[in-house]
Amino acid sequence: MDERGRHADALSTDGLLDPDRFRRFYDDVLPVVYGFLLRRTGGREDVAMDLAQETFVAGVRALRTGVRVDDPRAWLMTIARRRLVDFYRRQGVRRTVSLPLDPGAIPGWENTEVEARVGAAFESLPEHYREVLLLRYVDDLPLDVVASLIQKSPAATESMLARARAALSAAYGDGDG
Amino acid sequence: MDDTRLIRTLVAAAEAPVDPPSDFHESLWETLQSELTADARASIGFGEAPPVDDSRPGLVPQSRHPRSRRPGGVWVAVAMFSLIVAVGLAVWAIRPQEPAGEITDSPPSTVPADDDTDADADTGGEASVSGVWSQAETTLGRDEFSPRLFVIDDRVLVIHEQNQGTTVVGEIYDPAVNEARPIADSGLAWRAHAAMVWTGTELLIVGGSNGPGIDQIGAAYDPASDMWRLLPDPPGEVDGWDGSITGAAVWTGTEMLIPARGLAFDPVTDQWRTVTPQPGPERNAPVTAWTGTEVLVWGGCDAAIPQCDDFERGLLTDGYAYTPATDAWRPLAPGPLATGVHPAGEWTGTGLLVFAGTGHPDDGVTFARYDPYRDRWQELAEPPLAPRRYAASTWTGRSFVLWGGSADPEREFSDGAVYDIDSNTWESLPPAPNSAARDRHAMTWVAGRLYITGGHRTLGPLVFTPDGGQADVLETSTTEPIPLDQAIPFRVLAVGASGAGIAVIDLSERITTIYGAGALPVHRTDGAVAAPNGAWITWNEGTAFFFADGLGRVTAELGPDRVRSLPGIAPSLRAVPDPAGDRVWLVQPGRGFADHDEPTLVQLVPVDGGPPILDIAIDPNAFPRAATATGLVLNTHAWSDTGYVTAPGTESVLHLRDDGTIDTVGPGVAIAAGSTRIARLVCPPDRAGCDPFAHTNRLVITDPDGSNPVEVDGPFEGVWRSVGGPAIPSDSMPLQAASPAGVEMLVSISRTVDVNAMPIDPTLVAVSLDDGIVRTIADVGPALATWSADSRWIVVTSGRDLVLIAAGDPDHIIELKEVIPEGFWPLAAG
Repeated sequence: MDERGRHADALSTDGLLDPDRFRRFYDDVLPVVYGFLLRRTGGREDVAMDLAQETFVAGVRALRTGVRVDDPRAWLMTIARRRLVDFYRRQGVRRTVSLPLDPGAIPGWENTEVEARVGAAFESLPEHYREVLLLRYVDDLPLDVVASLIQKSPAATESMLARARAALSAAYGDGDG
Repeated sequence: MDDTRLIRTLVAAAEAPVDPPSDFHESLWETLQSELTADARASIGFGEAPPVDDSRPGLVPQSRHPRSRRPGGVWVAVAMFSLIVAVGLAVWAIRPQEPAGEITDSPPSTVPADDDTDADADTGGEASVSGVWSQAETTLGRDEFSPRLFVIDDRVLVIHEQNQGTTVVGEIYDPAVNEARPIADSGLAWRAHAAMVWTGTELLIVGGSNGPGIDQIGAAYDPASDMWRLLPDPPGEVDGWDGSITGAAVWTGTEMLIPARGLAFDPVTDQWRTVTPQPGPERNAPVTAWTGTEVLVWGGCDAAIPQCDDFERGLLTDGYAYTPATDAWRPLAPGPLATGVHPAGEWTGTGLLVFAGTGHPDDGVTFARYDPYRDRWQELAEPPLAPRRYAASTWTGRSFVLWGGSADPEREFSDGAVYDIDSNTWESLPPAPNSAARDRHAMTWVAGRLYITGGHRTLGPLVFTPDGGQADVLETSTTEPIPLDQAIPFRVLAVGASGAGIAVIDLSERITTIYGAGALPVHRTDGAVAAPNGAWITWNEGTAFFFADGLGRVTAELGPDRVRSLPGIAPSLRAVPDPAGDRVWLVQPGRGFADHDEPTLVQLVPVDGGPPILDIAIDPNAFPRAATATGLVLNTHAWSDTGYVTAPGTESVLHLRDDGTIDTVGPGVAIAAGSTRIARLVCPPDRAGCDPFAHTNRLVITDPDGSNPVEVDGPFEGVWRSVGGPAIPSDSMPLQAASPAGVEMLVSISRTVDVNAMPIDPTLVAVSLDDGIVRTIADVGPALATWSADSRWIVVTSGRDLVLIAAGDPDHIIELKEVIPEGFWPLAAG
């Protein structure tokens, strides 16, 4: 398992504006941010790079204003997700509803067999299930925001999430056998 | 594989690192380097205002406020602007008169079920709302009067239409990350009193006045594309447009309705149509609301009178309602309200709440509710605030909030209150710092917070984050059994990253609650601990300690004025619950320097916020000093019913008693204490002069007087281990100890000291305070240790999930799914 990005969990932003320290943080976390954005934009490198750049620039500017967080990696991922939501909005309702996890889908990333199987199960789901699972779990959006994005009530969204999870489990189980 | 693990795998795969193209990696780094090395922007704290830039060019439209706050160097600009305003008003005055409208005196027939506010209930309650004020980021100027705010999901679109006499600008503020981003340049000339509405997808800006002329009448802004489009001209006069369309507007769901001008605009077809204009005089700053069927307009002042609001001339106390379906106006029934300067009002869904005052002691009735279905007014409890005008209001969905304003040109307010419609009572908001006082500002409720901006020349936007009264209840995992003794409830607290919140997990009821996203009593949680009585304590740098019950209701607060011996609430100040009862240790670690040590300040205070039981300053020079570690900010802890701290600069563990006497337990750093024993880390004899904070030394567990020692030598080789990385450099492993309620102590690696070290996955160990036996808790992943009230072992991971380990059964891992969002860190359990 690739461990990059993990040690940043344990670092606060104290002193992070030091260029040397930030460079280490940057080298460590950029692949995580980029990898997330790359998958969530359907493998579009240009978009992922744009959003990653926006994310880091926003993070540095926030740090310069004195923002202090205990978990810079998680914080930066939050910014990345915000940027992604902005991207969604710019795209209207046509959000990417695939998560390329099949072998060779993302150059430079070797997925595990389990990941590939989960990815295949996920891709076999109906589009509206994939969309709601991605928004809620992968993008980590609050339920009410997901509800607003898919234009359903929170209760209906919650219900759809439950059905989507069950469908994913069933699809994965079908792959067993 | 169950669906939880499937989702987890999906998420982990989505976040697996991918190396970007190397040229992008380096080019972005170059960008970031320039950002890192740029001059830091001024950080403005409460109570200290940045210098006012009087050299800024251009007009300052806000100077129409008749106060003399501006230094003399800008009187030319003020005079120029006054001239422009006078010209603009002259243009208004000579405009063609609008035809009088048809007035109906029949209120709508639709009357909801009994929605009366019980105005005879309790009145004037003055309980206090808990919360914290903080400053919000902005990319805009600080001195815009009456900026416009539009809530878009959980963010705010802020529009400065005057913008110091340049162009209309705006930004989108995200309270979740305290981030503001400018929107695309509108290209619109600055203007005042433009009509604006948010349609759900676009912001429409139409009209306004700036004297010389606004050229383009209006534009629409789409946040999704960050683009503006020009709007077609409305019917009527075209020459310059200045002042031809001003005033409040409402969005009816299909049209932008500008009642004062009798205009409606459909942004889908880009078509204008005329409707019957509002009867009576044109009004400056009336309360305007859309009920779903009617437009309500009340108060304001006669716009034909120059500066009618500033000089309190032509103040109006009547109003009208317009029904688009019938294109007819009706007068509102006379109400109890006195005149008001820039009255504030909010539609609640069943009625219009209006606050109107002039700031004079004899204002009379200032707060009332208009029921459009019955066409009647109700006098409501008066707000617990000094008389004022120019106050701002917002509706939270449950409460009416009133804040700021002024009583006279030299007296602005930084206080406010919250009105509860069900009980007809008010609660005071904690006052913001005096330096935040303002009038002619704007306020809105967004993402569980109050956002206030404008109306102030130096201090920028403010955010007020209220307490846990509206806590979000997260989804919890109940699909998997939790094989833990349900008869023994316990609670776990976890604290999030900046602004994230506090998680309270009550396993006995399988309820997990997150206090955050506006529900926290603190805007930025710097820490939280559980108190023995089931309460919890959280604190926020620079503000206060908050004591809350298990439901997140704040029961007491200790601010800088209450923590008597402590110089404010410093970043390093920590709270430690006292196992003896409803008391908490507050410790401000001193700093050890070679020549001027700072004392460690300690208070033992009751959780009800009463006077300190113990209040001492520990002089480091009174105790033996170790040779090293001078200059370090010491990790200071205090536990037990008497208390132990590590003295600054001494590396000595001190035993504090309630009577204020202090003993030295011995050298080292206090790590943990039970009810009878204290654990400290010391340098072994063969490692004299070692860094006591390397925590790889010797663990000594003793009675408070230093007797009956049990020693465990570090670095616990064979216990600590790394997962998936290189060997852990044994000299750079700090321990994190949890305060145990029983006889055992949990220690864990919380971070690496050497930032060059490779990342590690910590492994947890448990150390018995009685016999020093070290046991390993296997395979829990990245985690910090904390304890249950019954001394069971609890381990909480810092990732997306929460993992609990039951006492005596360290291999038995119970998973709660989606309980702790990423970014939360465990702190303590009670």
